[in-house]
Amino acid sequence: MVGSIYALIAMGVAMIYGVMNVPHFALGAKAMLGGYVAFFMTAFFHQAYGLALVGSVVALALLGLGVERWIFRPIAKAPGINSFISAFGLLLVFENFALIAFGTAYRRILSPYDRQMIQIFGANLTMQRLLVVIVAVVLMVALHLFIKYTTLGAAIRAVAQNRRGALLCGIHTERIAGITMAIGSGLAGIAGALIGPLAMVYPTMGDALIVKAFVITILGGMGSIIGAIVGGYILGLIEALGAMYISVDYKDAFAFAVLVMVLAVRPQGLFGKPHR
Amino acid sequence: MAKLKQAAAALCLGVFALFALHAVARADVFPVGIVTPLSGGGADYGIAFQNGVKMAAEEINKAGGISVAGRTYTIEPVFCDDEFKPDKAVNCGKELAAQRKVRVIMTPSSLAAFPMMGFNQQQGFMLMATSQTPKFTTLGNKLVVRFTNNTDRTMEPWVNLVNAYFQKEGKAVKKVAIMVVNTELGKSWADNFARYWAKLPGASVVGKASYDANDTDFYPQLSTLLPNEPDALVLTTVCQPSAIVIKQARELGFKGPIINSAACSGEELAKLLPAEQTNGTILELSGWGADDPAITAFKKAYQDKFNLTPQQISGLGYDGLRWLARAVSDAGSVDDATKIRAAMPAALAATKTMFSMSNLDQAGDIDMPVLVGIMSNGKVTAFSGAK
Amino acid sequence: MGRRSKQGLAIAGVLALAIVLPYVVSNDYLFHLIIMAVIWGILATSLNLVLGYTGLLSLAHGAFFGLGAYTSALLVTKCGWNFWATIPPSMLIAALGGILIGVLTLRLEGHYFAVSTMSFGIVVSLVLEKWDDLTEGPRGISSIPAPTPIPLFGLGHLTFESDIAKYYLALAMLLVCLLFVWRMIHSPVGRALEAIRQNELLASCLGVNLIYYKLLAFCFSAAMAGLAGVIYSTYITYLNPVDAGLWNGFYAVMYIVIGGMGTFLGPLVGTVFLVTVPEMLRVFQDYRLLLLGVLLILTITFLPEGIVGALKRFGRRRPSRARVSR
Repeated sequence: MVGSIYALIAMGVAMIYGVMNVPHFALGAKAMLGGYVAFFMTAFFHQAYGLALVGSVVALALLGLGVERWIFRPIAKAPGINSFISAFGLLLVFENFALIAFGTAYRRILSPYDRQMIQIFGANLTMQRLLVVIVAVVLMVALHLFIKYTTLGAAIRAVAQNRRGALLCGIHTERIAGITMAIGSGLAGIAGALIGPLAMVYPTMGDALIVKAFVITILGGMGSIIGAIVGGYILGLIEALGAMYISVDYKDAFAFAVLVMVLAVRPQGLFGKPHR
Repeated sequence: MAKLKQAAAALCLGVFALFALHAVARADVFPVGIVTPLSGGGADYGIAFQNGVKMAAEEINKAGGISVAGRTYTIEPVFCDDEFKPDKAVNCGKELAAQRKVRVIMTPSSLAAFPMMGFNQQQGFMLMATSQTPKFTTLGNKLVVRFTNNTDRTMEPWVNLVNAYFQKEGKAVKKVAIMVVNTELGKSWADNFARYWAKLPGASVVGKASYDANDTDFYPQLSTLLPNEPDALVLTTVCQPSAIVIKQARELGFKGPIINSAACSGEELAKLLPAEQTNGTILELSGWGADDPAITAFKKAYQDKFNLTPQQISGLGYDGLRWLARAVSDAGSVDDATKIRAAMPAALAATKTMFSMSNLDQAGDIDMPVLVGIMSNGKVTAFSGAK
Repeated sequence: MGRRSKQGLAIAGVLALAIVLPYVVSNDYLFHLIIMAVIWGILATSLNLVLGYTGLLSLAHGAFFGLGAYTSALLVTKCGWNFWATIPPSMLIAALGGILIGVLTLRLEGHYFAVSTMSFGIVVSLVLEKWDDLTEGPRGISSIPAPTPIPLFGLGHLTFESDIAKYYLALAMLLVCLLFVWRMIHSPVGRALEAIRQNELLASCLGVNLIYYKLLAFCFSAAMAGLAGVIYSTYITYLNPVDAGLWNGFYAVMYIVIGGMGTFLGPLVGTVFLVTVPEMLRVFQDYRLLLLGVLLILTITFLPEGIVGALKRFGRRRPSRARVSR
């Protein structure tokens, strides 16, 4: 369940890193904004939860386009580390914007699926939890097919593999970067909207998400979407098992420890291509 | 290039002018430094405190301010964001003491209180904190005041009262599992609770698991605690995470009572969860939860003004500032922290606080009663043990 | 030769200014910010050795800082050690942390390395938070005393209670670190590191032992970060697991990038900038951190080489001007 949320954001991180070479630390904050969009749509405009999910994707995708155009494109030629600072600046802007605009109150998204209990393999589960998993899996499969089998997907892959080469082949790399950023941001947005009914929406909810999303992306292999998906579920599993059999107190530490160990054996991550 | 330079120079000048303007204290204003998190993860807590302080200040100023040695002063709370980091708290403390010449600083956290204890006596300001760490009043600092209960003292009678309630109701609650939140306040509370609970006859603590107040999924903690078959689940922080924990615990089939520290109040919990999930929840009830017209009025005014549910820390901020205002007036001095500190005990006796605080001692501790509250159908009833 | 002596003169000038500073600045708050800038300056200098001169983006320096701070504070408060005696073990523990994570991750590339070091940092702060029998957990370590007075034979004691004394202590440590980094980058080791930064493959073909040199830089850098932590703990007098958290590591990176990567004094300029600007923005109250974010983005967009980098370029483009200004 949690693995699905992580995986959604991690896919965004992986795509944006792969295409733009930007460690986008502000994606967690974008998930938070997505959560707020869904909250306001359900609470104030009384829209259906399903529509709110779509709304958060659209809003965040647009935001992603803007961020690429105005923040990251101007520094695309500067040393890579500069985008780290910009991403961090964005994180500060988004979080404090949310704090000023929406206040500190913890918001709760009302979802009709949250009250329905179902039983799978004898375990109690709310419908919402199942919904999270289903939506996430559908999105992952769709994204995978999109990247693999469409022209635009091929263009994205081309830019990720070799930016200059893609440019020489007549691919509009800047536009591809914008599209990638929009997709990544949209994924983060829906992740926030999905987790909203289970937990709460508040300005700093993205911090924990983004750190884990980065760990997953690295665990799976930077730029690999399959890696991000598998990494997400592995992380969720490690946390659950570690908490159950070793120590709940250190549950957050296992994922990081496993990451370092995996990389010691496989420096390119589970699904990354070996460098050189 | 020249234009750019000019613009840069103008900008610098502007910022510095603002800075200077900011630093000049107006006459006949008594500034009180408020060091609290206003951004980041602690913002919810810090802003709740800030709002309580604001309400007290407005109330005092509307009533004509405070009269000190024949002159009338208005109270001006000066807020400083410490981001919940010790070094930023020192930045705040030094700025307030040196630039704004404050003689009193209030803070709702140990994270800010302890680093400022390093220089508060030397810089001559009194430090008021809601720190729950016993050490706050044992270090011999002469200018500290804890404006909340010291759980070291109040936990034992409270735990006995909880036990008495269970016995009266005929419920066999012996084994408890504790969710320990990763904050100084929650941690101190949980340690004390565990210590005194284990002293009860036949009682034991069958599990502890730590959690963060901004966690969203508590299945891991709950699935390690619940197999030990606790009779009750103890939660140690504010309502929002508590509500999620309770909801998830019920999903996992836990049916026993919940015990929550005073950080969460009944009416807030009732707003977050349906009644069937909160019935039978035991709350640590400070004056804050009591059914008193003044407190109800405060909570309503707060809700109307800020469109937020008041938290316990809001009430403490409100009480703290009103108490302080009285002390400054009694001390007859706006610039001598020692005199203000000396006037604090009598001022407390003369101030009607929502938390019924009393008896400030030399070390800086006060008495503050805590009762047991029981929730049923979204309402809280107090259990005082009598009868 | 002329340029050399001018440089020397400038350094002497800055040094003289730093020494008389406590007697010029009478405002406590401003002086406190200067001390903080010196302490963070030590951290930035330590990171500069690996990030600026070796090209390794380490996000674990907040953790090394925390390890040093906690080691010293625990030895002083719980075991009653003399403050000065805690410096070597604190630096050693931080260096061991550096070696441990270095051995595991130094052969990783770019972002893999960054995220692994970030993970290490998170694990360290988690351990400091959860191992509360030792570290007091989220309650933190309070009332850490000032450094032990040094007896001056027959002349009383040199005490470190006052802020001025702590400033000189921090300044001295900063100078030692700067000198160390200066010597290191102007030695054969430094040239090896420079080669690694510019082209790893080429460097290894030329017979540079990559892991050995990287580990060397990383280990010394971690020890210096630990030293910064020691000074911090005795100055702030309180420690909490957040002090070892990611933020300090992130900020250290920003000090360097904003100041100017790969320049010797850039990290210090960046530190001063990032210590003072958020404080100046306090006038804007609630909008403070939002504006800080905007300012960071603007700075990095318009000054991609950092402040010192931009100044250098400005000086080069207009040599006549440069001569006048120094």
